[in-house]
Amino acid sequence: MNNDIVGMLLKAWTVLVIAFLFIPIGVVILYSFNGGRILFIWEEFSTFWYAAALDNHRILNALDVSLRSALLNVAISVALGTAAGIAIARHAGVWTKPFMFLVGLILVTPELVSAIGQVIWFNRVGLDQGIFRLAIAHSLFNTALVTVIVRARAEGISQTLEEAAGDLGAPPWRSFLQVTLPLMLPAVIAGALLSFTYSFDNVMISLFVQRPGASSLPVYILSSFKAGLRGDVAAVVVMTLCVTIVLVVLSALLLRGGARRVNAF
Amino acid sequence: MSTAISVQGITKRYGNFVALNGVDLDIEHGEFLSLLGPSGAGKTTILRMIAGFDRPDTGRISILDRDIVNLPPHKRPVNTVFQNYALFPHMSVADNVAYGLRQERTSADERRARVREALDMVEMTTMAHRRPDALSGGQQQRVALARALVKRPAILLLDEPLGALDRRLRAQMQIELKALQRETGIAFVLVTHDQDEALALSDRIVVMRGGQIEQIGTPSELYDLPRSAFVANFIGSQNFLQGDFEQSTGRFTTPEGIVISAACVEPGAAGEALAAVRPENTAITTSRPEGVSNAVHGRLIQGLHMGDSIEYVVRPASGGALFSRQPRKGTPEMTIGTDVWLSWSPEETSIFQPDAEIVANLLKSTNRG
Ligand SMILES: Nc1ncnc2c1ncn2[C@@H]1O[C@H](COP(=O)(O)OP(=O)(O)OP(=O)(O)O)[C@@H](O)[C@H]1O
Ligand SMILES: [Mg+2]
Repeated sequence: MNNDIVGMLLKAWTVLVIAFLFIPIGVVILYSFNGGRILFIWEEFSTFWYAAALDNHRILNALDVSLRSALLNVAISVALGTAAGIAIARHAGVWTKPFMFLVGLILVTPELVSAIGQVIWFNRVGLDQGIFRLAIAHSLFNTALVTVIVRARAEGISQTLEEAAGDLGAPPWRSFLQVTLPLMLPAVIAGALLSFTYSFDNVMISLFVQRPGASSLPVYILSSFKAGLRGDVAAVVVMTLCVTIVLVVLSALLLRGGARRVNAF
Repeated sequence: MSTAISVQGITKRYGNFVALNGVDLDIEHGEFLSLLGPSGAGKTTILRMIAGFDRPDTGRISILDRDIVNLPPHKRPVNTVFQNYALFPHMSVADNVAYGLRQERTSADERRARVREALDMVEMTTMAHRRPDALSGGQQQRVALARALVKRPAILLLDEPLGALDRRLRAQMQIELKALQRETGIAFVLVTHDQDEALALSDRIVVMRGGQIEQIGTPSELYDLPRSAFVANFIGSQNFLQGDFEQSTGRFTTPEGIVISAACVEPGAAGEALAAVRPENTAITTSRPEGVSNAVHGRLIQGLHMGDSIEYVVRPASGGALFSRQPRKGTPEMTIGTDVWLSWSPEETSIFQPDAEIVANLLKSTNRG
């Protein structure tokens, strides 16, 4: 009998925790369908603000900046991170430990610190192209992230497979292209998706490094919050949320599928 | 027969550790050669040198008198079956087998024909479209064999290819390996821990220890004429007696005063030495046999049934244990606990220089007894 009560209390507690975690998201989604002029005051169900958001050229401009800088950031971090990850897994040397320490440091540096540092050196070297500033600033963290993911996968792929390819007559570059890379692709793609998500959501760093007229979407949303919230902001937030969820789920699936296939050996 | 690959004076160090120390080995065309030795003897290291994954510090590896030490693996006419198979997980069985031919830019028609032939040879044609992770261990093993054999190498290197298989599958694959080797005429170099496997399959066996070759010979040479106590002990089983060997008279005397005569003496044996006889070459009787020069008296303490034979364990007064293997059919069973004589002829006896490891084991079993 005691067990029953404990069990019920535990269940109730679980429900409360989940509610606590998801109520904010639920509320945003709900209110994005509020047809009223002021976001907080519910009037009627409507998709009006979704249409309005997609019609607002400032929102569209911010979205454009966000997308382009996110993609450029992905290109940079995937190229650098993949190379670094493979190098660490395959050609470890005296530099490996200090390098991994640096990577770890980048991952834990508070964004505020990183952001201020970036602004200073961007201004110093005279980089004033808005999208480049955003992309490069974001790719710092993401290069470290991709390095860690790719390294883990590369270490999971037995080096014997590359030796086997060589043994069968493949020169090193071909065994890399035909054996190593295909097996590593899930990790690279997952790294790319996570980098995209990070950049697409980022406020702190963007706020510091952005140039006037080239605000990213999260920064635009933040500034419109000061001017009084309207439904279009909620609508954009919900759309961003959907994109983020899809990308994160996709990268989780890729990483899991890749692990299963490689670990079968 | 002519030499396919010649290994001359190979030495390899890892830091201060000497993994291979002056190894000379000629691999003949079409032979089945086994590398046998305890863990850490350097078997894998030799294979990796021949395949080209590692470079020797000194020495030559040559094909038709051409030194290939500087040739990368993909340019050597040698293929490997890896211990963990190393099949490409993202390719089908057929693509795995075709991989080596693609590297040679073989025409599509020829490639298809040869892949099919190779898969037929290992009876895996019906699974050509499966992924490796949908195959059992034995099936993966066959694909790995087909993938290497399809290249028609001069030499096939196999590093403990049967290590991961259970006993029955292992026995079956041993027969298939031998048949494949005969059929293809390719020289097989097989690394194994398992002396029975080496004895059953090989034309020649290389016994290794501590980075050096102890002896090379046919299975019967190694079995009948081991050159050292280590080889004698490693191939088959062996009873050892410690004692003193007088070179001038050829007399071997144990501390208890038992005199042993031997037909075979390792060159250089003198003073402290080991006398050896195989359990299957001994007789066991209740009274001292007439006219047999080598005999030890002791108590019969155990009879172990080994299927077609019984292995008797005799404890001499000096302690330790001697083994005698008798066929089950045709010998009356002995009573445990009685006093018996273990005897054998000088022709079956060898005298060796003492081997530290064997002496230590003898002392251990004497102290226990
Ligand atoms: N890369 C390496 N670095 C350091 N030592 C090594 C390396 N490769 C091999 N060794 C050492 O060289 C010795 C011989 O190794 P090898 O793998 O050839 O042994 P093996 O005869 O194949 O043994 P096993 O039967 O256990 O496979 C071992 O003591 C091993 O520790
Ligand atoms: Mg080995």
